[in-house]
Amino acid sequence: MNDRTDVWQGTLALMILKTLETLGPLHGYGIAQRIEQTSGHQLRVHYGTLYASLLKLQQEGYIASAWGVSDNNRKAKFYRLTRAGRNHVARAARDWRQTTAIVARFFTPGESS
Amino acid sequence: MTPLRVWLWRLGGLFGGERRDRELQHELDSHLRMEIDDNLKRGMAPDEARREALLRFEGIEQAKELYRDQRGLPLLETTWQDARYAVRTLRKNPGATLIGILVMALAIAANTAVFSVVDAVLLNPLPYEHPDRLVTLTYESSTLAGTPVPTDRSRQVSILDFLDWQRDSRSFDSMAAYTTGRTSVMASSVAEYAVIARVTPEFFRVFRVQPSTGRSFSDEEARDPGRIVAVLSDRYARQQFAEAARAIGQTVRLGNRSVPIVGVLPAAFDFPADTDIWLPMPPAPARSLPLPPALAREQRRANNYLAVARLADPLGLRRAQTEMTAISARLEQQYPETNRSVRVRVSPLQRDIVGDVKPMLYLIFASVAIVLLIACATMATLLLAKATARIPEIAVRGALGASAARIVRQLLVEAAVQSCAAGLIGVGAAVAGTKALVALSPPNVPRLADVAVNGRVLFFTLGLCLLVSLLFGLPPALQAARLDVSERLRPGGGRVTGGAGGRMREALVVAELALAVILVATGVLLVRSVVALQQAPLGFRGANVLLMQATAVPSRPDWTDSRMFFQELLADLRQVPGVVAAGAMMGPPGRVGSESGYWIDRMPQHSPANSARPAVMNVIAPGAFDALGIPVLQGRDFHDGDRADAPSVVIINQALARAALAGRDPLGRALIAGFDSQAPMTIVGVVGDVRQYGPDREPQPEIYMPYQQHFYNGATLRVIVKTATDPAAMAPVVERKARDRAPQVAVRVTTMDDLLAEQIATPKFRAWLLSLFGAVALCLAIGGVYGVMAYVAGQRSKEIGVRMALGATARSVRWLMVRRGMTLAGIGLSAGVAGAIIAARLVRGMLFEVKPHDVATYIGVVALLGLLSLLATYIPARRATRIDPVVVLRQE
Repeated sequence: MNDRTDVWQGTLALMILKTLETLGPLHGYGIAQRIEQTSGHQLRVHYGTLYASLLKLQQEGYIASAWGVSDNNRKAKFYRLTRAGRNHVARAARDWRQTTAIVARFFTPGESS
Repeated sequence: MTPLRVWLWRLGGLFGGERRDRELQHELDSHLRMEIDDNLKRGMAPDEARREALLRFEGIEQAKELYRDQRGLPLLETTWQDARYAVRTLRKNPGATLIGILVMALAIAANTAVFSVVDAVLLNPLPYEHPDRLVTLTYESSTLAGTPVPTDRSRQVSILDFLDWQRDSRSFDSMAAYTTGRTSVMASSVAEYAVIARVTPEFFRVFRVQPSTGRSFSDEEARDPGRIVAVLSDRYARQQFAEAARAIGQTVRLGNRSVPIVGVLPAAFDFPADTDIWLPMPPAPARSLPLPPALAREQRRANNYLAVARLADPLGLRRAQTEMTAISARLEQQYPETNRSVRVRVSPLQRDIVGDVKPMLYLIFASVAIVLLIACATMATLLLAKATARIPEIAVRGALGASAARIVRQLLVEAAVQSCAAGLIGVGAAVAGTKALVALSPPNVPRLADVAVNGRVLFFTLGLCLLVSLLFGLPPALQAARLDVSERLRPGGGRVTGGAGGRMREALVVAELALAVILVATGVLLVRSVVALQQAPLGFRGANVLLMQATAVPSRPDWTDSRMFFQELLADLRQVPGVVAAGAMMGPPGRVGSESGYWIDRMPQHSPANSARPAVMNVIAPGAFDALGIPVLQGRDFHDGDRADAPSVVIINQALARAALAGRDPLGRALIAGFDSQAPMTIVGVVGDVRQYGPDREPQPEIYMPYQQHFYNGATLRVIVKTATDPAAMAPVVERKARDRAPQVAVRVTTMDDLLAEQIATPKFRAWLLSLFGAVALCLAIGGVYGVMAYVAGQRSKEIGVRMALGATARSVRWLMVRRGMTLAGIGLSAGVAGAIIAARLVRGMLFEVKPHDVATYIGVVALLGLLSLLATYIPARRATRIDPVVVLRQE
């Protein structure tokens, strides 16, 4: 269990947003599950950080929350992406791709001059 | 945008914590349940499923804590906690807390009150459009060598120069000249004095002011003396006609003319200060026609007008100054006889208005600031002592993981709580204090009506409270932060004296005493100046003297009726029982009416007009010297025979005889003065000197002329009545005598004592305030010394016990402690004397016949403070050595 990497600071928010974009409204537990799943269980979400992060995203206006009922009939708080959140994801995804592309060049063998 | 949104959310998160906590709990519960459900599905036993889920959570409480930190503003919340904790701590020791808060409240109240005056008088811009563009035009002071005091008169300029400036300058939007003075006016049936400003037509344009009712003068009305109209102040209009609008169309009677009122200015407009009526300036003889050269020369140096202007460009002060310097240089070439080295200064109007009172207000401001510093130091010493007593508490907090910064913050919050409480009380007291300050202010302080505890003042007080809490909270907080936790937690630890806290305390005591010496010494110097002022030889006797200003408006072309009025009134008054002597003067001491150049024996043909030595010009009616007790030393007094048809005669004072004749006999010589005519007058007498410009100015040369021979200036005189008893009781009688003779004569009655009191009102006011602050500073500083010494004595009781058990006498132990206290006092007092000498140099201009380095003052102040410090150290030392050593040692 301990060989799994904790989620890096700052990227968690982005992962949450991307998850919500892909799956639509989801509760905290579901988000955590999904992130760990997507990472092929290489990442491990700290729940305390997750909920703080969800609150922060709400404060920033990227997500909104409402109480609902889960698949297995549990009452749960569902988070959904707002319009601002959607824009933010698009922008962040573009930035991310750009950044990783640049960084990747430094690690691609043979291309360094 | 987003950060603001987050901040608002978090601010909202501060409230409704319980409801939000419940919601979070629900959310986490549902999370747990879902995880348990999944675990069960994976085939775990119920117990294990639950345990695994909880484990996976890694601490629900930590998760909540993280969430809460994100929800609210943790800094604000912990500060709030600190504040509540501080209130609890302070309530444990209500007496000391209350005294501390009251001391600070007093200091804050004094600072707030003084600031509200400084703000309204000095800082607040003038209530006119673009007030920063308003300037005054005056001559450079060097031009007016021999001008005695910076009164309105020394700011006066000649109308001919003014007209040239107005014509030739380009840096000004508009420029106006005006005169101001009290004149006899009849608005109802009785003549009264009103303050009248005569202004050139540009005046209202300079100030960009329009009448609130009616209109101002038209150009024709301003130019044509036959169509003169008046504009009233709002206050005067209400006073005379109950309502501003009702004044329009009415008239005021000035002299023999009825002047129609065409407008009333807004209530906020008050320039020149206290003006009741604005009239167009009668056209100067030079305005249009060319003057004969002799008259033009005279007019060039008749400095009878004040000049104001509005800069064309908001930042054009420097450019205007350059231009005016160039213009005056050109005028000097053009009129070498009159304008030699006459330079013009352009200065902001605001500076001109508040110039005289600025040093006084800053002095008072500085002294309340010193009181505040001393109060802070006293508070800091008290808190330092308390902080030492709280060492175990703070050490425990440190041991439990509070960082040094956290502890400093908590102690600072505690200080802030105290200073804010003090601030609240202080503002309340300041409202009363401000009223008292305004009521006690000397009459020459301008703009006092605007003084109020307003938003700006409250903002200042808030800033002050925060500054103050840093000042007195930081020393103990820093000391606490330096604590070595393990050291202090040991039993008996923290009982050692000295160390950083001790040094800080001692430094504060030194500072308190030094500041107190500065304030007390300055106060004493000012008080001694006032005493010296009151004892200054005035040259006349002011006791039991009644002054009645009267204007007898002539109706006959030769003005004989004005002269008759005074002659007959004086004769009447001399008959009144209780009247010892009666005379009249144009400018009695303290109310100099005019100054001019003079020549003895002959007038030089070609020397510049301003080369003549200046003298005070006075017009008097016989009896004035008797009434004021001014001795006639040589020759004779005037008598009723010195009439218009008799030879022109004049009386001079000793100062003039000394300055101009150097021991030669003055009697019978001819004197020529540039007063109302240049006809020679024969000197018939020499009288003793009086201090015409107030007790703080040496007597100036003075020329007395009989009123019957100078009837233009003899129409407004101050009747001087020497009474056998209380002069105020005689006032109604004297006033009725005047009214009986002529109801159209305006009169104003005062006593010479009031006039003298007015002259020393300013020095008295500042001396009084500084003594008050000095006394407060002294009490605070000595209280601080006592507090520290008593505390140190308490701390050292064990050591004292040991010393005495080992055979030290009470006397030697006392000596040990007193020596330490007095060493500190010595350092503080010496530093204070050095500071006081510097401070006294700064206020040198306010001292009278007392040197800034007056040895007696400093010895006295040091002796007083030294003695009090000795008492403040000896009493605790004595108490400490009274303890039975056995008792102290048993405490271990």
